[in-house]
Amino acid sequence: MAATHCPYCALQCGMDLAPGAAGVEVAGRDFPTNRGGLCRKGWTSAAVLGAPDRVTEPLIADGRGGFAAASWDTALDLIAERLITLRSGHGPDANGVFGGGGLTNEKAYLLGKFARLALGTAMIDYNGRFCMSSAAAAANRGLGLDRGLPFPVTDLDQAGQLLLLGSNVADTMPPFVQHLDGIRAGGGLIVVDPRRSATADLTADGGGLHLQPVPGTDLALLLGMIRIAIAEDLVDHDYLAERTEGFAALARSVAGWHPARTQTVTGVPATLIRQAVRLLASRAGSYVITGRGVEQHADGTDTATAAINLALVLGLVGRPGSGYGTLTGQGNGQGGREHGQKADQLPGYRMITDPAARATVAKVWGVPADRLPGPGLPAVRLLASIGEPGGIRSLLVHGSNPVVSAPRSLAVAERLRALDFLVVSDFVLSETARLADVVLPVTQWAEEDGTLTNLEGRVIRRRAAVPPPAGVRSELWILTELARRLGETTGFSADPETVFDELRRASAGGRADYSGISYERLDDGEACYWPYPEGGRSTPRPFADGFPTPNGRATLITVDYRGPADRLHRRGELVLITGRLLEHYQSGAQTRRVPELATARPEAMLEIHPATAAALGIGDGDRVRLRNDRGECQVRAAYSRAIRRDTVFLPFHFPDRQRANLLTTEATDPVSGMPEFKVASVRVERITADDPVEFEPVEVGE
Amino acid sequence: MNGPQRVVIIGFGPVAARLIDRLRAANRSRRAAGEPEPFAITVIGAEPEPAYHRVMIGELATGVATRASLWLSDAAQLIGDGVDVRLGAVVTEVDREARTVTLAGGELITWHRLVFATGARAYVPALEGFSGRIDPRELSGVQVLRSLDDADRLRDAVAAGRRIVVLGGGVLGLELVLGLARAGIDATLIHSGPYPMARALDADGGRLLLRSLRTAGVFVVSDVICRALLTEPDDQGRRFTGIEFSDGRFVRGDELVLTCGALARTELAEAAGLRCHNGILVDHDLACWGTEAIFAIGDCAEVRCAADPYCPECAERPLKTSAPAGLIAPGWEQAEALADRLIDGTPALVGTGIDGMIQLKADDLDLVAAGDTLAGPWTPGLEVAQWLDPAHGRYVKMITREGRLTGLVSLGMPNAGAELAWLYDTGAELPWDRSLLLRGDGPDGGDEPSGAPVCRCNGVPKETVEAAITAGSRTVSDVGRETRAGTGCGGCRSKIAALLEERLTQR
Repeated sequence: MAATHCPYCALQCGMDLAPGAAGVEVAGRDFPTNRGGLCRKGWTSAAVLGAPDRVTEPLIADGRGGFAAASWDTALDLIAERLITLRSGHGPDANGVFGGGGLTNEKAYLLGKFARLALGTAMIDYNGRFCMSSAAAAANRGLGLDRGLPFPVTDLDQAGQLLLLGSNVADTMPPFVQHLDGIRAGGGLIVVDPRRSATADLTADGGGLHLQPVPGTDLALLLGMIRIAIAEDLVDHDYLAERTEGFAALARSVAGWHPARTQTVTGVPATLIRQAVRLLASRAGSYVITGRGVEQHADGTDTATAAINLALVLGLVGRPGSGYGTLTGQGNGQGGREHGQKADQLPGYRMITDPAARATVAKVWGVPADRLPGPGLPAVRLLASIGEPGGIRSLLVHGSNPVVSAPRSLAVAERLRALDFLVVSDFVLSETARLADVVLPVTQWAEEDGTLTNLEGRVIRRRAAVPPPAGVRSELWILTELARRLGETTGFSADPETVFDELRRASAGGRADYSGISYERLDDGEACYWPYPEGGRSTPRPFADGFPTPNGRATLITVDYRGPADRLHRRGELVLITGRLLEHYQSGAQTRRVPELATARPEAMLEIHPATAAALGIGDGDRVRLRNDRGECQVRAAYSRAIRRDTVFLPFHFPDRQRANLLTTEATDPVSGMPEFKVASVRVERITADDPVEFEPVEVGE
Repeated sequence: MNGPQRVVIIGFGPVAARLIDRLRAANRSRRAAGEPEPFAITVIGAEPEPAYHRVMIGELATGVATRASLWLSDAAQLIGDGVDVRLGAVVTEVDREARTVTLAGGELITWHRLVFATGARAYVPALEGFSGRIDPRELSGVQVLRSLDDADRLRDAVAAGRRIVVLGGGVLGLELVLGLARAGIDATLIHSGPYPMARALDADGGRLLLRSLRTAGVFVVSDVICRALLTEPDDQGRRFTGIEFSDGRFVRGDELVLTCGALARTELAEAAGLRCHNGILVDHDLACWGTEAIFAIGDCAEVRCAADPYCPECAERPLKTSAPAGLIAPGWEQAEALADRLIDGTPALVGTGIDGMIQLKADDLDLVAAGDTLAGPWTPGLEVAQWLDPAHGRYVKMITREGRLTGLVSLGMPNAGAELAWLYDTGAELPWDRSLLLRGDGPDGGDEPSGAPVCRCNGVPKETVEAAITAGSRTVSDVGRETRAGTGCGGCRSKIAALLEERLTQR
């Protein structure tokens, strides 16, 4: 039996895996984040191990739309040869790498090293750009450090109030909800969501308040809340004086956001906004937490910054029993953004433009610092560079399915097809893998060892329960073998602990310092929160003694409200918002292959208010077409009174014509590069029987 | 033009502050690009303080808002950024030929672009026993509510527990009396007409507002014409003691606050030969009529189409008088439009008339009103829907043309009010079933759909849990092992326990 963690989200619920006659059996394990609880995804996670279309040998495209099996040597030789040819013909930056927030720390680290040393390319980024980059940028500039939750999740058990912005935890990480019991019992849960989501429903019956802003106006709401806190003198003056700077300028910048104006822009009653602020300020024990709903916008960094500002003026951050945090989404979304698969970063959360950081990492890698490339392009621009002069001509994809998950995915699929060479490492034939020249079959969570860093910044161990199918290899092995073929004979290893040991050293002295953490410590059950320097201690609450900024103070950064990139609310158009379902995870590549989940939620359903639907002649369950100038999507409609009349909701887990991201915009946040996934203007119409376009429901389980 | 454009702004209120912020941002971005700054800005404010949020002055007076939360500008920061800031300075003359302004001390300041942002002053009526001049040495206990000093003075009166009489039933007066009543102060509102806010509200809305005010603890005297101030001598001069109406009735009080509206400050512009009516007349592009380099924004400006006959847009829309409104949103919009025009020549195009909205956001009285609210259900050419429930203090009226609001009233329904305010502001279309907009304030928002699973986390329906109990599960943990129900967030364990109890006691 292996004591490990769930393969899916960043809550990383503890689970025990036991090989049994009918495959691997899953049981909940008592771990602080989940206390033995698992959601439906976790309980059924072992089904993906035996997915009928699991790839178990390397595949090379046959040029006729199919694949032919190949030996590992053949596949790796081909890849190396093509990468070398492209490099000599077009320069090292012609080869690109696309990573993922689900990769273990070891894989993420080795992938970054592989890109910079073996390929010599600056062009590496990852799908975490699509989830955590705005919150990360905001925390870095405001607090000096980006650690999703700078406190253990269990701190919330004692909390009195929680302002939860843009996160539907009741669906996305259900076991988390047990940490809200005390808050709800005291009426202190404040949920901000344009939908009355399952999480918003937790505020019913005296659990707290639900603020339902017009999509895309979260920043205005937060500015109005800060304004109320200041005007009604609910701010913590001692805290502001001792631990922050910039308050006077912040106060001036929000002075214009009087309650009536905030109400007009957001559609949230001024009295409710006041009530929320007063509730947060009324007692000790308040927390502010953001999620993708407010961050995945063209102003996502500013919105997260405003949330931080609110927490700071109320004196919550770095005080016992209160705080600010962001809920990391992907399984290793935290560790994945620390160890060098980001375009602008080196291991240990170091900036690649910082000469001292470059020297330190180059020394660990045993190369001169000038061999390290500079910063590359963030994900959306990286993908957009394909086919452009000087753009990338090949791409290695690891732990990601951008055909489904990237914004404006029609254009993304076209660009991936335009690549000279696409290599995808995956364990199933994902929508992206199907476009590849070479598909490399890799291990799954239950078949491998490694570490992840959960949403609290706690490093945890993933442990193998079963051997992988014959013919399947770990990404560490693949990178080592490819590096060797590209001329790097040392410095790469297929052994996770060896790689972790190097990661530790490379991170030493960086913001995300792992140097004091070892497999031994983790296996002994020690709770290791970074920063954990060698010879030092674990840091469950990093802001307790000050902020890691030059003067030890947090910075209140003034931000302005501008609104979404798309022009919304035009006549005949609706606002599309996107998000997740309880039954599925990310692009659905895994969960759509679990029969129980696929049966429960076989297709994307468009949530639409019955009044809106009726006006458009759309019946409950009717087939509808959503379109804008970026693409067209076909799904069924499902009536819901939990959504605004002018808004529709579509989950983003489904492929082909049901891809929500066919409609989303490539507009990105100017600071973080985060795409605006959460609002797009669309037209919705019923598909009639004699419609020329055929409606194709997606096959379950494929 | 060589060198920076010299922009001189007369007046330093919220609207001027917004303009300055926009122009500074343009300066900063050019500076960052290594280019010369396009603007040299001078701002001349008559008050000793830089811009503050005047709309909130009533809240300051009643102690709801702190003084620190009102600041919109920091003089030292502006000066550090190269802005020429003159506080407590008065412009005595504008010379359009020489392109100069003269300050009270005689100093001349030259300009390429001149902006009037002089705002408005409180209208003070003359009454028997009152010259119409506010001067505490002559008559104490009478004041207006316009500046920080006014707010401080009123705050002292409040702290001293004095009885406050407020004359004038506009937004300022209403917010003030509500704030006073909430603070437990003896407050009287006096207004002409059958109900307060007579210009903004229809009769139903007005009557209900009147009742809501009384419920909130305000003493209201309606439909009176004030004849005289009652005063008595005190150690300095005379002191306010009450107000008498034309019918001989009177109200006693210690402090009179006049909230009778505002008048645009146009004297300077008029003296410079600029056309003025209710305010300084500016065209859609915010330039004063007949000029190209002189502008007016905010409460001192009256936007009116200068074309003769009116431009097509104005010919279509009824002309409204437009100054001063005491509303901040249109002024900020004008400041931004003017900034864009000065920065890159984008033609500033603002509509005539004020699309402003009146929003009373007291804790115990929620009112939104906008546009023409007088139309009734049978007014031709308009669609009007209403909900009136006086017994419960609720009223909503939605006046639309082609599905969009041209006027609205919402009283006592905070969710409908917020949504309608948003719909009016954005011009978005209303649902054909207008009653949908009322439901946000109803108690039926949270119905759980029938057939919802007992355990959401694991999608376990009630039938499955019941089957497990029938098959022998006796505890919540048993049910969890058999069905996974209750093994996610655990929130449904009490429901499972209830099902267990129900089933097991049935046997």
